[in-house]
Amino acid sequence: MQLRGLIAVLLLAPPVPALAACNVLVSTSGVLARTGDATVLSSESGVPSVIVISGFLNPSISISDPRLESWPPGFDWTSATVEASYQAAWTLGSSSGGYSSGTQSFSAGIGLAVTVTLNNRVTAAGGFRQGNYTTKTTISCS
Amino acid sequence: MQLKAHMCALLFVAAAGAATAGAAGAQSLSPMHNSGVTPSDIKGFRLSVGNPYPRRMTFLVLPMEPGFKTAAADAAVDFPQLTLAPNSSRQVIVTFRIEPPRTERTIGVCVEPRDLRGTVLPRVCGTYTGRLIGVGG
Repeated sequence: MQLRGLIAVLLLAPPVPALAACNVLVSTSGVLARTGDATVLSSESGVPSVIVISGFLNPSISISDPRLESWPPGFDWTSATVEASYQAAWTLGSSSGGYSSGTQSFSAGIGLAVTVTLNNRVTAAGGFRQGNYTTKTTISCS
Repeated sequence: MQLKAHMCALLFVAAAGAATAGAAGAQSLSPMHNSGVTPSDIKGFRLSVGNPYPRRMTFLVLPMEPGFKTAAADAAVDFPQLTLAPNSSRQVIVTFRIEPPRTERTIGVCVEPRDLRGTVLPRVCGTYTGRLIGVGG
């Protein structure tokens, strides 16, 4: 009975414009590097991430949860602060946000593509042990 | 000292570079918003998940509460994980319960790549609202 109801509802669903979709492409993955400050790693000294978002109508784009994903043994990850900043550009506008460990959002209006340049920064007051550090930031199109 | 610093810098760069090699990923979700009525307390939507880029990828399809931060209760996807060939798409059906006395419920659905290495986790999220038939349209 429930299945029949479900099928009926699905059949009633109106067609949806093709542009009511969102594609998110990570075209360049970022690279952290040392800065002049021994307590800071930043992709501004390395390579920023570049993300291209396309195929939408009035998307809301959010940048959230910058986090440390890997670090060398012995590093006190709880003392580290991870932040993200972004610059976004599209046909008729732009947006930017400074370094934040929280969620940052913007609405891109109507455009063919939004290019987001994302930087990550890791700050550890006690400095860094030698090894591999990687971060991850969530970018959502909704 | 300079060499040491340089070596350290190279180590950071090399490590991150290795972690991100070939990490480009993408996905699509359509439609991103929809609403409709249901004669029962279960509402379903048919969504299309696509991989518009030129390599095979596996995606997670996650029912979420609106706001896309926590998993949605009483919601399911028929294919919560799917592997798509390049430039292909597949339809999935998400269903959720509208628990009485509620007459309307909105859930989110997020699509994200599984096991994507790199510095960015790209997500595409939509919202879908179901209403009991005969209640507010």
